[in-house]
This record gives sequence, structure tokens and C-alpha cells, in this order.
Amino acid sequence: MKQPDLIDRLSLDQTEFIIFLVAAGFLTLAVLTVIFLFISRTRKSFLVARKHDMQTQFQARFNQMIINEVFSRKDNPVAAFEFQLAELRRLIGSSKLARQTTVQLLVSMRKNLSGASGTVLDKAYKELNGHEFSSKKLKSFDWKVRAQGVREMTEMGDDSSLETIKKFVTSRRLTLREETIVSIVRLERPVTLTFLNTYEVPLSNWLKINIHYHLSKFDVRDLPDFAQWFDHKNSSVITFAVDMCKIFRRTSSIDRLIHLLDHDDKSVVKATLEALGDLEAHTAAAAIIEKVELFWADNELSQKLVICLGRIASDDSHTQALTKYLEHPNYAVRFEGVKALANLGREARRILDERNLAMGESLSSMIRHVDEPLLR
Amino acid sequence: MKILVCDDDEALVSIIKFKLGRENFEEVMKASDGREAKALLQQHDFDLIISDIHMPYHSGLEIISFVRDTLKKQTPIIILSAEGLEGTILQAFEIGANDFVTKPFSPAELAIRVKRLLKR
Repeated sequence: MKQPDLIDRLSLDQTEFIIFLVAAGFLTLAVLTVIFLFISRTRKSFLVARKHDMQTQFQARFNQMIINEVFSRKDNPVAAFEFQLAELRRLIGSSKLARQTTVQLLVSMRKNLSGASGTVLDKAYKELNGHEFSSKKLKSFDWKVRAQGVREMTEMGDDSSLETIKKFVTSRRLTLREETIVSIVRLERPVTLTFLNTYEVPLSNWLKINIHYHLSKFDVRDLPDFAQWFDHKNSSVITFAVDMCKIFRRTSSIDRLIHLLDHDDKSVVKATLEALGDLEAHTAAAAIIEKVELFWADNELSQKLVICLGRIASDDSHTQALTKYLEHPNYAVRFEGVKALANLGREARRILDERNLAMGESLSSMIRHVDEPLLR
Repeated sequence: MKILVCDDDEALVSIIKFKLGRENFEEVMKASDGREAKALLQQHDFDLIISDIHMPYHSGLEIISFVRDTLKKQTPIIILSAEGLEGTILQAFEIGANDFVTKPFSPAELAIRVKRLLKR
């Protein structure tokens, strides 16, 4: 009978009492939330401070390890390394946070250091069981932890779990998928890029840049034949392969590149025109001229075509094709036409000046622009 | 000799400081971003500056311009960068860098470059 007593004491009716209870409930919940937030923030701050302390402590050990010094035996680097290693093992103990801090430090330093210092860090990673710690992360249910494991092993050049890492190449999570691809490119020998064979989603610009960056570190002769992906069903893979042919100057792929001018995807055709121009594929000129009528209505393709032809044109028929673009309805295309003819030699320049006169000098401003050395 | 190391990577700054300390460059100061670097450059006279290209607030290239154009100083500057792009390297030299080191690098090599610039 407590409830009626309370109602009486507070002079509340039944409805007011219910409101009172709900309000009290909310108040309790709010207080608990504040307490929870306070504890969680305090704990987080404590962990951050602890991690920072550990970083400072471990960093000092690593510095001495890298610079090959120890207080007891300055003359013996092996003993110095072992000494610092034993100290680090003692400091890390069985703490997971300490282990994570150590691996993070090693990864961060390995990115920046090469030579003997890099070798010392690789050795320390193995000796401190960094490999086991990182490879355990690959088994986590959390994709972020898995991505972290992949990144750590990649940065440390550890290929022992490459087969497990490869399984993430089809992950639904973009970050994990991209980390995996970068890892494969960096760790797999020889470089085959076979993951591209079954790659179905678009390759992001971030991924393309990263793959190119890592490929550029290899001897060009060790890179795969990019033309093998020219008939891939994923257009972004084809575009990437075309770009790589262009960047790594795969002139042997020119014949196969020409066929891509018939591709349904505009981005592939654009990349192909750029590649043919950059590779100075003179043998492709006739095939490109055949596309003039087809691409005429598309300003972007026409512009790419003119730039490409301007770089590879070598006879009168090519100059004639370029002259046609002086009357293109789009300004940017006309401008590229003027630029191409102005740079193609004396005869092309004569044709350009003649056409300009015939067109009531409507091209004069563009000609002045391309003739200005500071604007080239 | 007073050296300023500007990089937002604490681990790297620590190694450089440690290595230079072992090479008897006792006074090595650090700046973790471009703003801190500029403030230190205004307050102190350094004998050499080691700076990363990519830093918060002001880039390494901005630091070079600041030293050469604003402070009108000829302090030797070594630029560190993870990108070995020809354009960036040329730009750094053009605006007044004295040396360029591409990451990853060897601390021993950096120390030799520092000594060479300071003619020690």
C-alpha cells in the first residue's frame, strides 16, 4: 500500500503520479548516461595517456636499436639489438595495448626508413612476434581490424599470410578490398595482378593511383602484359590497363589498343586515344581518321581525337583530317585543331593560315594564343 | 649548431633527433606542423632546417618560401618527402631548398647530408 501513501503525501492524483514516475525514470536514465559517458571518457583519456607514455618509452628503445647503440656494449651491435629487444619484451609483457603500440610504431617507422635501419625494424617485428599479432587480426569478425592487420603486414613486407589476405579481395567492404589489393601488389612476386581477372566493381581513383605508385617501383620488364585485360568485361579495368600501357610505354600493345577505339564505353575510347597519342602510335593514324565522322558529334571524344592525331600525324591525309576540325562547332575542339596544325610543321601552318583567311580570320585569336610562348 | 626538424610524424622526428644528437648536434628542435615551424623560425636563428613537404597548416615548400622571402635568410634547408615526383623536387630546389631526401631514407645518410651542408 506504499503507492497510495506516496500519492497522498505528494498530493498527486493517479495521472500526476504516473507523470512523476516517468519523469523520475528519465532523470535516473540521464544521470546513468552522464556517469557512463564520464567513465568512458575518463577511460579513453587514460588509455590515450598510457599509449602516449608507452610510445615514448618504446620509441627510445627503437631509436637506440636503429642507431645500433647500447650503454653496456657500444662495440657490439648484435648484443645491442638483443639487449634492446629483451628490454622491449619486458616492457610489453602480455599487454595487448603495448603490443598494438609497438606494431604501430614499427609500421610508422618502417614507412620512413630504409637501408640497415629498415632491416633492423623488420627483424624487430619478427622477434617481437608482430607477425603473429597482425595475422591474428586477419581472423577478426570486424572488417576494420582485418584491414588494419592487412595494412600492418603489408607495410612490414610480411608475405607469410598473403594467401589469407587474398581472400579479402572480394570483400563487400571497400576499404578492406582496397587494402587487400594494395597488399597483393606490394607483396606478391612475381607481379601478376591476377586479381584483376575477376574484379567486377569499378576501380577507384585512389586504388589506381596506389597500384601505379607501387608498380612504378618495379623494373618495367617485370610488369605483366596489361593488354591481357583489354577484353575484360569491367570497363574500369580496361581503362586502367590502357593507362598502364601508356605510362609504362608498352608500344608492343599498340595493335591491340587500336581495337579499343571500337569499344562501347566512352571512357575506354578516351583513355585509348590518350594512350595512342602518348605512345606516338603513328601506325594508328589511319584507324583514328576512320573515327572522325563517328566521334564528330561528341565534343570530348573529338577533342581527344584531335590531340591524339596532332601528336601522330605524318602525312597530308592526316593534316586534312585535322583541318576539318577548324570548323567544329565546339570552341575547345577548334582550339585543339589550331594547336595541332600550328605545331605540325611549315606546310600545316600554311594550311592553317589559309583557312583562317578563308574563315574571315575567325581563328586569329586562337592562333595568337598558341603562338604565345608563355601560354604553351 | 641549432637544427630545426619539421615533420608531423613523431616517430620519425624522434629518430632524426636521436641520430643527430649522436652526431654531436646537441640542439635539435622540433615542430610538428607548419604553423609551429614558422613560429620557431621567427623566434630562433637556426643553422639548418629539415622539413617534410606535407605538413598541417603550411607545407615544406611554404616553409622554404618563408625562410627565403620573408625572413630573407640563407639557412640550408633539407626537404623530406615520400613522393619522389620530379616536379616537386624541381620546385623545391627552384624556390631555395639545398637538398632533397626521399622517404624511406637512411638516418645515417641524412646525418651525412646534414654534415656536408654544415661543412663539418
